[in-house]
Amino acid sequence: MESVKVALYSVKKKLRLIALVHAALWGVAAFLGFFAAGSFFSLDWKIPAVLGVVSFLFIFFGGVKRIRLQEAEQRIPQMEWQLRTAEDTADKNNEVIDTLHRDVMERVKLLSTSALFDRRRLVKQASLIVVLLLLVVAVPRAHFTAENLKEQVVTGFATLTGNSKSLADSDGDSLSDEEQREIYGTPKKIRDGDVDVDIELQRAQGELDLDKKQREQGLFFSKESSVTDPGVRADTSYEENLGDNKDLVERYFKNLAEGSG
Amino acid sequence: MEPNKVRAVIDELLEGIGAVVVGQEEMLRQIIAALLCDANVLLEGYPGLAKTLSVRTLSRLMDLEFSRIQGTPDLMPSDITGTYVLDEKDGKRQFTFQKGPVFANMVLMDEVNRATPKTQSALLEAMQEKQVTVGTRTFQLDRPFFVLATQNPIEQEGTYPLPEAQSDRFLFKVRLTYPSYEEEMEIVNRFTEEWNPPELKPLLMKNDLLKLQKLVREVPVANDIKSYVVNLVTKTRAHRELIEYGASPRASIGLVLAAKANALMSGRNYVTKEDAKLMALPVLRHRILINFEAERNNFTEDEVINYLLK
Repeated sequence: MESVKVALYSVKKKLRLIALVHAALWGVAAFLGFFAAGSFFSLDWKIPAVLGVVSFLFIFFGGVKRIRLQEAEQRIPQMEWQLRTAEDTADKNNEVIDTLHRDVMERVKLLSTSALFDRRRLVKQASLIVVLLLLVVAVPRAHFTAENLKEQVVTGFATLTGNSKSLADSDGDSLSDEEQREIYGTPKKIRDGDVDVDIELQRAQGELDLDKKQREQGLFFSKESSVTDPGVRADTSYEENLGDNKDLVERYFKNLAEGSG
Repeated sequence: MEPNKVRAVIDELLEGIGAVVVGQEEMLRQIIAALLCDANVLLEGYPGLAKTLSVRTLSRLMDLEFSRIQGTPDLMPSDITGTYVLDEKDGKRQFTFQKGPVFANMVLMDEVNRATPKTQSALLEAMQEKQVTVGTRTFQLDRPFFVLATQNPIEQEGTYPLPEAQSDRFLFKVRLTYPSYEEEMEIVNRFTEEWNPPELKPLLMKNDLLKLQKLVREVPVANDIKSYVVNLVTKTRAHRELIEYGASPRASIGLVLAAKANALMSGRNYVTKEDAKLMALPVLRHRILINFEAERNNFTEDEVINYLLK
C-alpha cells in the first residue's frame, strides 16, 4: 500500500530532523570542549570551530545512516512493533494487514516531531553544553593556561624537593644588590660631570632579547650577522643598547686608550 | 473480522468457560490459541485439575463434536481410527467402515502415555494430515480437528513415554497447576452444594472458528520478531551444556504461529516480542531434551528455556 510507505517515510523524515538537532547540539558541545581546551593551550578559535563542524557532520551522517523506525517506537510505546511490522509488510495486503496499515496511517498523521524527541538525551546534551560554556568562560578568566600550569608544576616540584630558593631566583629578579654583585660583578658606571651613567649592558635587552633586536634591525640574515661573525652581534647590540650615551661611552674608551698608551 | 472483535469473542468464550470451570485461565487461553492455530495440545497435569471438564465445555461453546478416548495398554489402533465391520443390508453382507472416536472435531485422548506406541502412532496421521487410513482407504477428517492429549507427570510405571516424533506434533505442552486457595474454595462451594450448571450455548460456530484460523495466518509479523524466534530456537541447539537435543524448525513455525494467535486474541493486528516470549514455554518445553548435567542440577525444561529467553 503506497500510502503506508508515504506515512512511514514521513516518520523517517521526522527522525532525520531529530538526528540533525542532536548532531547540531553535539557539534556545539564539541566546539565548546575544543574551545576550552584551545584556551588552555592558547590555540586559535578557528581550530575548535573546524573540529565542531567535523563532529557535527560525522554524527549527523552516521546517525542518518542508522535511522530505523524502532527509534520512533521507543519514543511512542503505544506504537511498539506496529511501525516495523507495517514497514516489513508494506508491499503485502490482506484483511489484517490492511487494518494495521490503516491504524498506522491514522496514528502517524497525529504524530508530532516533538513527541519523537529523546528528552533525556536532550537534557544531557543541554547540561553538557552549559558545563562547557562555564568552562569556556572560566578558563581565560582564571589565566589557566598550559604555560602557567607548567610554571606552577615546576615551582611545586621545587618546593617539594627543597630547591625552591635557587629555582625561584634563577632569573635573578629577586636577588638583593649584594647577591647581584656576586653574580654579575660591580655595576659599571661612569661619571659624566655630576651625573652617574650606567654603561652596563642590560641583561634582558642585551642577552635574552638579542635575537629580537637583531630581527628588528634586519641583521639576522644579513652578511654581518651574528651567525657569520659573532663579533658583529656583540658589538652592535652593545652599541645599540647604549642609546643616547653612545658618544659619551666612545669618548670614555678613547680617553682610556690614550691614557694607557 | 476485525482483531478487536476477535478479542471480544475470545473474552466471551473465556467468560462462558469460567461459568463452569474455576481458574485455569492460562491453560484455557493456550488451548484456544492452539485451536486458532489449527494445532494439537498436550496437557500435563495431576488428576482432578478439570482437564476433561474444560475441554468438554470448550467444545460445547464452539459447537464442536467432542469425543474422549481413555488410553490403556490394551487400546488398539482400530479402537481409535475405527474398523471395517461385517454389516448386513438388504440381505447382503458387506464390510462397512465403522468410524472410531477420532472422527470428531475435538478428540480428548486421556492418559496418552498409557497407550502402546502402536496405538499412539495411530493418532500421528490424524494429528498431522487430518486424515485416517484404514486398510487401503483414506478418510478425511471433518475440519476443524484437534487432538488434546493428557498425561500424568507421576505414576510413570507401565507407561510408554511419547516418542520425540510424536510429541513434536503437539504445538503446545500445557502444564496445569493447582488452583489457588480462593479458587479451590470456590470449587468446593460450587460442586458440593446444589449447583445448576449454566446451559451452554455455542458462542462460536465451526465456520467462524475456521475463519479465525485463516485470520491468524494473516496476522503480519515483523522481520525482527521472526529473527528473534529463529535465534531462540537455534539457541536450544547451541547450548549443549544444558540441552542434549534442541528444538526442530517445526518449533520456529509453531512459535511464530502461536505468537500470531496470541496477538489476535489480544485484539492486535501485529505481533510483539512479548507474544513470542509468552508462547515460548508451551511451544519449546516438550521439544528440548535437557542433558544429565542439567538434570543433576535439578534444572527443569522451563528453567532452561527461561534462561535462554534472558
